[in-house]
Amino acid sequence: MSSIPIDNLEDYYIWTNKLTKVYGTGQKKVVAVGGIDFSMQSGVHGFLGPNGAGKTSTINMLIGAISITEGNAFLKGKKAGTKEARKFIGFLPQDPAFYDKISGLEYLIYLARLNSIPKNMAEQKALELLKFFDLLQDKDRKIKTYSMGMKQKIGLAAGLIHDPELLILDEPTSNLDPLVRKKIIDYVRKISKNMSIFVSSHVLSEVEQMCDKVTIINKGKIVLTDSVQNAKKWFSKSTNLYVIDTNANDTFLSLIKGLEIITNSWIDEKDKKIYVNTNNVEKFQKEIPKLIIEKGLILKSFYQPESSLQDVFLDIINKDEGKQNDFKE
Amino acid sequence: MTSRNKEAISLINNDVEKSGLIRISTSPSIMLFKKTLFKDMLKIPKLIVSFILMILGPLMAILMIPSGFELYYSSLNDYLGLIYSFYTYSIMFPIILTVVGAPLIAEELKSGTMLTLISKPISRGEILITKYLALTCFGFLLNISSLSLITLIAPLKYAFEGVAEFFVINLLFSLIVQLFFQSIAFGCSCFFKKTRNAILIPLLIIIITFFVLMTFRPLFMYMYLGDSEVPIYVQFQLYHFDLAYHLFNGYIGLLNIISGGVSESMLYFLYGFGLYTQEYDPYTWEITFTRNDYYSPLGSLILILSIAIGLILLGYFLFKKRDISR
Repeated sequence: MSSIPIDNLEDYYIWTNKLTKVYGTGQKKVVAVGGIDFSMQSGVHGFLGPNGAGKTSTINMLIGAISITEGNAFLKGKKAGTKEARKFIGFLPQDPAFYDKISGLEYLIYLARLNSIPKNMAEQKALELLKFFDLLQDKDRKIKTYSMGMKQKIGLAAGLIHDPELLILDEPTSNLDPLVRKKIIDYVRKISKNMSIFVSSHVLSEVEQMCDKVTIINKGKIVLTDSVQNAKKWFSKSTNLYVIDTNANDTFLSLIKGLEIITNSWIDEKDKKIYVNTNNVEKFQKEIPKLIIEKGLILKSFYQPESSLQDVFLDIINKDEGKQNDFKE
Repeated sequence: MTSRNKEAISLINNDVEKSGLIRISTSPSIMLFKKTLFKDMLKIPKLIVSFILMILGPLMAILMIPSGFELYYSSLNDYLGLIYSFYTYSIMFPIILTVVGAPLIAEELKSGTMLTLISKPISRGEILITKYLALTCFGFLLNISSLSLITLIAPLKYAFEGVAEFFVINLLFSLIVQLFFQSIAFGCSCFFKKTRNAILIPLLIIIITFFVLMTFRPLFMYMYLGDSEVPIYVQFQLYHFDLAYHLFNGYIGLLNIISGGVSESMLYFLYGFGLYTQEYDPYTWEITFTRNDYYSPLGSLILILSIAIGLILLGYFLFKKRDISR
């Protein structure tokens, strides 16, 4: 990724090259982000990772809140953290803070004016957003009286007040109850029709619902960047997982359990189908249908399942942890 | 959100960029300045309390003049200068500037609103300069209004002389005090993430300078260690670090330029700040004051200004390098 010519940087909403953040020095040194390379063009890009993986540190470097220890980052060709780069981004921090003593409307107008939007236009835009987020009736209430969900909505509205080209959301649904979470996800999906979004989260199902592309980070290192679909396909292929459904799944499971080509097999509690991991795909694809016919069973379905992002995420993280443990030993 | 609105905003922004005048009127710094000054500082309860604290001492001194009584000092500065320069400008004004100024950066860092602020197209330097200017305006407005009120009221109660002189001396002195203490408060605000600490350090400096040293300074000025021929205050050159000495040395400079010298009433007061040494003749019962010119008034002024500018620059570099997160 670092080989992208510098002329093309404007095509990328986010482009990083060996982006590194180290906190502290000497024995207290902590590498939060360890030289990551990733890029984002248009669409909704998920930034996944467990707690402490380096998501917030990466985002904070992109907006210029924290210094970059090494490497560099560009937002549409503008150096991350500069005024020029911040002009076209909207940002919702994790657990956003507000000036409690001002109203929702005043807050949005203030932020609009900080983005050089003229007063009359700022008010109009603020009211438009308050309506979009169903906060119009609460526009004159002090933000300190808002519920958590309302605060998150006003935070989102604040990020959108200047119609940014790129919206950066840091864990937008953390600390919210399931109902409000769903609402926020719905809003993000609606917004995504008009702008590109970079969203960090450790809640996989949400990222799956919102994103086209995903980057997974663990312990400050990028472990995967791909489209959500490709990530899922990759997982299924890498684990050689197959689903078999016959008219007698229990009988067939007992038949295949001892086979050499089967590494693991079980019946799923939900769909009652047989799930099988194989170590020899070619032989497996030949032998299984043959065996079903030989035993006089009926084959209802035989396919590679699409994994959930959760499976991909857990598999990658577990493998990564294993690798790091091996390294330590 | 609609594409029409997007176009409208981008058109306006283009116009804004083309026209320098409009750009000034919609600059993020101006918005931040207005918000800091009008929403954070000039709040009615805060303003009333600050105003009362500023005028309380001098006002009581004026109201206590009995009707028809002939004052020993007919000059307004001779009568009120002492209380104004000590009560108002050495205690109340620095405390108000600390309480109002120290949270300006620290509070936003602690609450997390700074993270949102720095994600906007405004540089950290602009944030600092804007907030510092807002604090300067607040202090100036508060001071000029209270000083004007006292200057107007005092002649109504007694036919003082040198009213304009009083106004000019105290206004100029207040600018030195303001610059110095607001810089301390602001520097601490950039340094500490906890508002409490940002307030505590300037308050300690005020207490030590104007209360603790006020008590111990005369001891240091008249105590000798061993065979030393000079008192502790001179032997260890404590005057270098004596803020009150430097501030009131500047005050003497103003008195010399505007009033042509220091009046007798001021000598007893300025003696307390190490600017004069008192000698008492037991035979004639006469007290003579000798000027301690360790520094010239201009030298003290330059020192104070250097400290103030140094603190602002230190705050600026600390804030610029600081990692800001929730």
